[in-house]
Amino acid sequence: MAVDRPDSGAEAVERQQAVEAPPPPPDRPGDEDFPSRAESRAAAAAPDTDQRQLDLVDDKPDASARDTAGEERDTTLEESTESSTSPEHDEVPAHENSAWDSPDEDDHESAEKGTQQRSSLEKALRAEAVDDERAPVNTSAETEAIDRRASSYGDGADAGEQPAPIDAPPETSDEQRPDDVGPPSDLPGAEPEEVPSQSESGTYADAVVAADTGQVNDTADVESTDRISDVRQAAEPPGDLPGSSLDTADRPGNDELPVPDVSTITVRTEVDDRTQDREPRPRAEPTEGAHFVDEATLDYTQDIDDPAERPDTRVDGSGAAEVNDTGPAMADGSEISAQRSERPDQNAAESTPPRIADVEDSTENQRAGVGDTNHDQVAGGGRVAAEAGDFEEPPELPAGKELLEMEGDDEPRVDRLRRKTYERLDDLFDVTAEVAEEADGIFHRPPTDSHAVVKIDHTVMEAPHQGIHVGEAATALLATGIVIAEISRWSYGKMSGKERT
Amino acid sequence: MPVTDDQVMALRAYLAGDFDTHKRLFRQLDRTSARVGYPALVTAAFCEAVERRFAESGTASDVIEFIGEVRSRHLKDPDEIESRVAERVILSVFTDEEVGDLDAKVKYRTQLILLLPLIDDEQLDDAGLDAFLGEARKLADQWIG
Repeated sequence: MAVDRPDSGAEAVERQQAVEAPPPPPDRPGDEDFPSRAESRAAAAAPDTDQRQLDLVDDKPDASARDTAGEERDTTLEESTESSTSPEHDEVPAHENSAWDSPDEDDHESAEKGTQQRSSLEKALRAEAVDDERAPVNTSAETEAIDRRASSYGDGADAGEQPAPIDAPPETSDEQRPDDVGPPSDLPGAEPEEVPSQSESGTYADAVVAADTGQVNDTADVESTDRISDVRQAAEPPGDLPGSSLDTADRPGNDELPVPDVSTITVRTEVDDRTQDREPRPRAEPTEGAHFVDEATLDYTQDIDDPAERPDTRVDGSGAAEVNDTGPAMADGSEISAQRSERPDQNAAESTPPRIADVEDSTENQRAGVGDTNHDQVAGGGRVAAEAGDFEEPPELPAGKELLEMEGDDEPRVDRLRRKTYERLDDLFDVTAEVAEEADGIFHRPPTDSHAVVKIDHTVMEAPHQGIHVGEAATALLATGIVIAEISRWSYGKMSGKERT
Repeated sequence: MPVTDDQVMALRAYLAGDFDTHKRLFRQLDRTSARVGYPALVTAAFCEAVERRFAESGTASDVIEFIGEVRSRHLKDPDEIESRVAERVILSVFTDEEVGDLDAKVKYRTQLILLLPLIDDEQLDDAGLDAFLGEARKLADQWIG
């Protein structure tokens, strides 16, 4: 492929002729005294110059001649390659076309030389294309490259007299030119056929490699270039202030870009210092540093008021989405402070509140400046930032002793008494022990039980037995003897008184 | 920690007038658990007894009369409790009386002394006394649980 082999012989010849050779005359097949391509091929293949001249005069531009020329393509390709590598290659067409050096055609001499050179080059390119057809890789790209070069020669000579059948490139090839992707006037030195487009490269890594090897032109593909610039920006050491990765000189309309604010530059410097400690990572693995780098990029691009002036609007939008994803973290000043506390040497030179304000302001400005392309993403991030800004500190809740001292109006009295009594249970236990020890001395008498029972031993009286006991009989006998003795004594006294009277 | 059975039995001996048994059971209590549970049980029993006697139709005059009777009939030394403090402690259970200015120890001692006459006037039998202590224990568990 011509793209993969920039220093091939065909391109070398092409470049040299484009610079040194005069514009080739139009090919006029059928006119007398003007050789056709077939004649030129035959002349080049002829071993004898004189015989070649005779053949050229007699031959006509017909299909048989073209076929003969087609058979000799490989040989011509080798010749052209050798001529391009040899230092005398500029002289080859002149010597071969010596048969046309007639005095009456001096004004057409230079044009004829150019025509001869063009014919030989076209042969070489066609032969190369035929060879590539055998290996079916990017045949269309080869054809486009050949047609493009042929058309460029035609433009240099006389496009109006350009013969159509073989030399005219297909119309579709013009439509497929990568030149239509971007404005060529703004792309100095652009060679789109050598730039891997995003669809061809496929991945960012390819784009990065292409950028590092110098194959990428900044104006080839704006989108891929911006992504590359993002990756590069994440990997760049500190000190590269805005515009280092995506240089403003490479941007179309860069004269209209305003100078970024000082605060924005400050934020960028801070972010770059953070990323200094880490290895550059690809965009597929975003880190905090990468986010902040994007944020810094946003800070820079936010100053562009007109979205049309920013070819990287889409890239900024994606960056805005990432920044907005980190919105809560940025809104939380404590978190940022915690991150800064990891590097006290930077904290000494930085003041936290202005930086946080800058970040929030940049988010707001970004939301206003990106435009409608990524309105949803930016608006989403803006909402996050707005919500983060609307946070209010919750009222201080009572704790500890305040909670214990709090008393509700609807609290039951029993609960109030219990709570107040319960506060010092430890001291109350000692009071309980004291009362327990002194209970006998506190109360006047012990409280009586309601149903006290006192057991008493009862004496059982036995019933008298029926009969006369010995003692009772003796007692009765004694009593009876006493009664008899008394009656006897009373009777003796009465009888003795009558006798005295 | 909740009120234990040992704490309930100790208070029951006190309310039955068996001071020797109360003293013995009180000494056997676990100090760690009794430091919180027993005072809570005493306070709950006091509140329960006051509500039973004065909550429905009790007045301040009834409270004053009750305090006079306690000092004359139950206490060897009538100055063992202060009349105004005793009245406020009882009134604080079923009125808006505030006792925040009273010392906790004085308040608790007053409750503990007034608890015995309150139960004596109730003339509770063994089942009644057990039911009373059950209510007090439940209330104490709610407080400290």
